[in-house]
Amino acid sequence: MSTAVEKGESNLETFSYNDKLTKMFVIATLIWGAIALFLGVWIAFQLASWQLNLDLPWFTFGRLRPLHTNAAIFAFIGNAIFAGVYYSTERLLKTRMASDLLGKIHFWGWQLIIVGAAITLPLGLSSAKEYAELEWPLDILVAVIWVTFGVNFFLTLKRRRERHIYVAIWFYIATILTVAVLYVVNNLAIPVSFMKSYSIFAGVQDALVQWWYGHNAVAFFLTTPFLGLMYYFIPKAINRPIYSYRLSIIHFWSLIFVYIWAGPHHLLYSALPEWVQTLGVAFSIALWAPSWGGMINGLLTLRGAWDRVRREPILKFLATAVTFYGMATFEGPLLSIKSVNSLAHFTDWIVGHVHSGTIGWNYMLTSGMIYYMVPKLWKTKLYSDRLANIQFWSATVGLLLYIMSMWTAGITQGLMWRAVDETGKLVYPNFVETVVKIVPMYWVRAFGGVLILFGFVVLIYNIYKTIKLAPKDQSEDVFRAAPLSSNPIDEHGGKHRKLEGIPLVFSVLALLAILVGTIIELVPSLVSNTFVVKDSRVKPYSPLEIIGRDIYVKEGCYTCHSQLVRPMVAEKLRYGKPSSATEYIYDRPFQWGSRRIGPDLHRVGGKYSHMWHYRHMLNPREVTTGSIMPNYPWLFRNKIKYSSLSKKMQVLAALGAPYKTEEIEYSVKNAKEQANKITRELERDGVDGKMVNKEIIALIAYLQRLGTDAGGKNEVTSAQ
Amino acid sequence: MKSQVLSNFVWTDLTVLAFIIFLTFFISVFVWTFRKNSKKFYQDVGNIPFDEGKPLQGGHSND
Repeated sequence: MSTAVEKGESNLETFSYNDKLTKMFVIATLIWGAIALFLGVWIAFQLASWQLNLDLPWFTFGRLRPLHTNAAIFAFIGNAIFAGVYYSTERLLKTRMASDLLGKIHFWGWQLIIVGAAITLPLGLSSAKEYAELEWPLDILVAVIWVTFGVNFFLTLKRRRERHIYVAIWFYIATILTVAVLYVVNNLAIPVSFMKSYSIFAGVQDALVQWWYGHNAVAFFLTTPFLGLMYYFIPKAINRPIYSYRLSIIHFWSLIFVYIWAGPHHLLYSALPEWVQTLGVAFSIALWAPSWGGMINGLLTLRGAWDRVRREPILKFLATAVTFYGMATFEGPLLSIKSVNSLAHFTDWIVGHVHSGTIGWNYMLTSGMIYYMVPKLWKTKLYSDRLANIQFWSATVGLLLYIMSMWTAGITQGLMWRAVDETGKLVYPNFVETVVKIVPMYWVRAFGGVLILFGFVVLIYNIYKTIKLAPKDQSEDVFRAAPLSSNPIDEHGGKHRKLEGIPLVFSVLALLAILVGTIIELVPSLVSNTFVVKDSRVKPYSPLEIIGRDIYVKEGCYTCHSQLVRPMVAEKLRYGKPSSATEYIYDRPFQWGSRRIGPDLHRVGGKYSHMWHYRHMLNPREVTTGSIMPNYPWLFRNKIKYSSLSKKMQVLAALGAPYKTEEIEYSVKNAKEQANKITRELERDGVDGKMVNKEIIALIAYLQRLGTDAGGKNEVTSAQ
Repeated sequence: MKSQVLSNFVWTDLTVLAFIIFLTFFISVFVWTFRKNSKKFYQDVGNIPFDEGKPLQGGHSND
């Protein structure tokens, strides 16, 4: 902003804060927050009552669940981060953000991405990697907008009037750098068409990269920026400095160093190498220390002022957020211990854990932050403390219902899956028995979600009234502060230059801290040719199976079905031979999933007849009483699209699938032959032969192929 | 599975290396934060959030 040197007060500069931008992000947070939470409630009810899938493709759980997670993480929490980061960064550095224009581009670009996600994900245009489902054009836009934000941020750092960089800013720097690295690496893909691409990683390696990303999206999108916000807003709200600044430094460095290693705990008992799993577990448990260090630092800042926490809604939200942070970061390492994980993985316990983090920590902290910022931004007072308290209790009770129902559902189902009687047989051989048992818990969870959503609507109303009653004059306040150059330390030129370089040195160090873990864990697996033993029995997918697999990806089947049989007695009894790394080498993307709302599908190939699948996809309840899976009638109406097949095979061949030139040339012919073969079998059971060109045929082709190369009936010798 | 992959992977010392790197890193940060004469410095830095610049024109100070 304009710089003026006033007489008398030795060269103070005047400046103002770009609060208009912060206000825009606050309003976006409120709008997208309501939508993300509504979507969550909606899909929660879909699990309780399958009819709510409405037999419409863009309304099914498989397509809406990615929309819910993306909306919650990137739209709701993303906008909240930007609002809080802009507000606090300007004030901590005593300067306006470097560029109003870059700020605007950041805002509108981010909203554009969200609208793009809201359109493409329900249409099934998805790359099917969890929390990274957006297809490549949107991925590029995310990267560009993120860099815009980063550039504006670093330029602002350069123009600061406060020499020392407060710990909150450190957390923001780590966030900006790491998210950029994570997002770009995980989304590396080769486009097939405008909205379809294949990951450059396959199978086990894709899984490793995905969960390195997935876990660190939690770490560097849901955690580090919010810790920065905590270090700013808690001291501001209670008007006293953080309990221990020293602890915050140790917290920062150990947290960012350790977090990056923990990703493999999402892949325990998987086909991932044992040493990577062990490293992931060890570092996950080590995470207890920095996480709790941070939580204690936040809570102790409130020491001796608990009476104010009881009275003031802002502090109530902030204190609850930090408490839930502590609980979620206690539960996380616990879940990463292999024996606990063997029970909890693929169950609702994980879902409960995630929400104690996202609702307990992110939603609560965001709410407290909004109650703090809005009256200041609009130069007024909060409309109603009482409404804020109503939100607090509604959300807290809703969250407790959510977490407890998911604990119950998760542990119940996990125990039922593994129950084996004295004769060595499964006690609950039908998967659906374990589903029916926990459906009541789905109702409880959905009701908890309603309470959380209701609280948020109350927040929106409260903020709407606050803004409406705010004074008309919203001109920017002007502040004065001395420029950095006036600081005595700078009289010695050498020192000055050195200190000016500190944010850069700092950023490099932070980047190094996250890269060490990344390199040690990822690189050996990615570069080594011998990492996954080739098995000559494992062949690439046939043309029709490629199409079927892309339908599987499009419908988001991975949101409910895993493709990973773990090496455990109960799983071998239920599904068949445990999965091995070599079986996934042509899977782009890998489809291991993270939750078994339905059974694992890795050994489903050849298990049932074509007709069984045909009836099952039309109405799952016809073959499985009590199933909660949606109907997929459109698969019986939509025609198979052969047009991009040869392009798809070319890309897959370029990525290493050994397709011969003539196989690519005759791909459509071969696919149609296979479709004919499947349809002829179905015709014997009374299906109309006209179905030959419908999507269901391709999907059946893929499902019947799953896991058969090196684990199905034709298995000769075990690779293990 | 375990033997299958480990037989093709020779750098199992990486786990030990990871441990050593982290321990050294952690101890260095710890020692660094408790270096001599740093108390006053950390107190000052901890108070940064409370200085947003002096308000001009007697308007809202935003705090």
